Amino acid sequence: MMNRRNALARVALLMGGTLTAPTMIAFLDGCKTSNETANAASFAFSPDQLGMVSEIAEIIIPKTDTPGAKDAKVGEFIQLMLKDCYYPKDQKSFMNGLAKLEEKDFMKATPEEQTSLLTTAETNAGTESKRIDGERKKTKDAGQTFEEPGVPFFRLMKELTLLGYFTSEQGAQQALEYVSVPGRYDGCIDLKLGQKAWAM
Amino acid sequence: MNLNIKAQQQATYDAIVVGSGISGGWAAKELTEKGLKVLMLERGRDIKHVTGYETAMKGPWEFEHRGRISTMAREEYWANFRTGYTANEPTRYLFENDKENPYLETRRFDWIRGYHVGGRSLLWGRQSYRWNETDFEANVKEGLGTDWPIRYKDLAPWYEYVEKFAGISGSKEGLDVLPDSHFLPPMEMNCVETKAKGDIESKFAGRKVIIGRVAHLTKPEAFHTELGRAACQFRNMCSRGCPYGAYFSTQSSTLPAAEKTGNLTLLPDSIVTEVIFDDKAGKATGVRVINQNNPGDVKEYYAKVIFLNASAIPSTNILMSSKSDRHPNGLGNESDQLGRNIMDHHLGVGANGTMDGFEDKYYFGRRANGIYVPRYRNWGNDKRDYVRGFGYQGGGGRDSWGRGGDMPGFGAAFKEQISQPGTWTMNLGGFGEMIPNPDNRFTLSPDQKDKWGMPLIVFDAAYGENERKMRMDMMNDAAEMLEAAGARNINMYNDTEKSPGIGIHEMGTARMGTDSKNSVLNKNNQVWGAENIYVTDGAAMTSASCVNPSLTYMALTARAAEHAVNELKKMNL
Repeated sequence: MMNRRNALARVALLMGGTLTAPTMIAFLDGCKTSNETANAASFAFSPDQLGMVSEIAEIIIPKTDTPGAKDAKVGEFIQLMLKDCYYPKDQKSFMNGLAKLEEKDFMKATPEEQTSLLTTAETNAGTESKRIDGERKKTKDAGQTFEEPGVPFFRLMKELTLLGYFTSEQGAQQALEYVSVPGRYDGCIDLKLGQKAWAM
Repeated sequence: MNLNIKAQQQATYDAIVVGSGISGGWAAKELTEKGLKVLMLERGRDIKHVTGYETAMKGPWEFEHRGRISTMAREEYWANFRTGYTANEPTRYLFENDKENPYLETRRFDWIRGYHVGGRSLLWGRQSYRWNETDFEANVKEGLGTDWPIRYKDLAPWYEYVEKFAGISGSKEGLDVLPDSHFLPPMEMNCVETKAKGDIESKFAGRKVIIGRVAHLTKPEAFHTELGRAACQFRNMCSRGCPYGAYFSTQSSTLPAAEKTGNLTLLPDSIVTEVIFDDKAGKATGVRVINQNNPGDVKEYYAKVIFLNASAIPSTNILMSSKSDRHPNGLGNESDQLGRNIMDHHLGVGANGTMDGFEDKYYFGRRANGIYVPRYRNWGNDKRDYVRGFGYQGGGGRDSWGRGGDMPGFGAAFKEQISQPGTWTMNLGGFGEMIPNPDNRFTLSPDQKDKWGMPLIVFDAAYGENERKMRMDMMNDAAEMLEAAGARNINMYNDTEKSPGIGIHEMGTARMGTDSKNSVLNKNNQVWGAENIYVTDGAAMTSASCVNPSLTYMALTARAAEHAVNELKKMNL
């Protein structure tokens, strides 16, 4: 019979990663007032910003033998999501990240430079996320409520790009395997070579 | 004949059923099939089978926010938001707007409501399990709550009766802790679940991992097809309403059966505010009803027998709000039990991990079901530092594009990679029994009212020490079992912010018992001192078990309906 203490000592505590976890964390703080919701709802990109967001999304999910983020109008989707589903602190965090890229003249840079800039943004987002995770744990362990900061820019950018692309008609039906009505469940089948993931 | 008498006749039925949800539909079916003229009153709007399911066939791109919740919806559905899924776009139209129809919490209570024809029978998880013998004896053996006035043997034939009609898919296992039902063929486990089952069962004597038992037609019988129901198409969009009628709901099953008899009148938008009790006659004579869309429009309906199936809290609310000389504190409340002993199943505790191997395996179809681990704690020789037990729901699957948020990188290769099936994962989420506690209760607000002029519900309930201790096992055992199954990256969790109501199995508040001094209902679900009123939804529950309760509500209802009809025949009501 396994000793309970040994079993626990051997179990690693790791946060499993899913798309929605950080986004859900962003939602999990206290109730918001109507004012904040109303302010948030006036959010919008300028045409230049929309262009840049669309370009970044296309770099993340480019057109290959299947449609890319621009085909799926991911830029417009990101604007809608930030306006309707996020609060001012996330909108600010996003716009700050965007502004940093604007300062580096992102739209005029070469593809290599753009990749480098986004890689830096991604690394920064990772560092920032880890720092926030640490603070959250410290605060919760102390029995206090943690005030979630805005989601780091590139984290939010990437998540919304993936959501916008893979739930779009083009993404779901062409980049993934979309079966509207399966009609049955086969529990254990062979994965065919090059098979895509189910869209839903 | 003067106008008043004629009007009264037109408003008179043999039986009134309050509520059209998972138990109300059954009351209507049973009573109409036994020849009674039945009026079913539903407080919410009508939703027609198939045509009423607005989102059932929509692809993700057809939702403005691709299924995610907007900040406005989050404010309006503030209680629903706590579940993490009920307020999302595809199903929100079936859940109550908490801002428009609020309630109060002295301590946090997550009250998740579906007010429309069919109620939460359109929204339920469809997991269907029988109680075992010990469940009925637990209260009296442990000196908690009050003794159930019935035992498993009283309900066993009724479980079989409702299972056949509803259609329950599952596997025969011969377990005392989880008695077999009358089953339709079980759904399949996937590769990883089968492996985990083998490992867990061999390493932990007495524990089982079985396929979930669900109210889905895996193989319809002839009478299912005659009712218009089809086999499950494995789309896993159940809570949007099923156009195939493949899972049991009022719309797919009990309503068409009742309508076939020609004995049913269904009135939506009808909020029952009280039962009318005639002190001289010593029985209920009818109900008072407010039009949902026009609170000033008040009607009365009359019947020889009344079934309250408005769901636990609203049914008890009706009893509380019905005052008379004989029942000055609400119907059946000589015991002061109305509103007390709220129970639920506590969850948000368990473990998940990744599973190596099976990289060349996948599955086809979206199974709206998982695996189930029946209770093993405080069972047989096992003795813990808490009473009662828990089961696990869970399952395995392969990560999809969502994992890309955590993976560094972007571009064509990244896109290609996350378009393919990812790592296998396995999870076990516990469902624990809450013990009865008279201080876990709801009352009616003395001064705050809803938009129909009815007092707001005030919840005051919390988990206790028994639940907290049980949750330690629920978390640790899950991690241990996953480890035994070869899982890595095991994450164990116990969300201590979870509160009563989150299981969406809220029950109790008008419990059955052996005496009018310790309960509201007798062994036939009749209200003490008002025996022509039956309560057969969650309100009746004297304890909670750890298994999903709806199958038990169906069995109690069918049994009580037969009793009511027999009593009417004997002129006892």
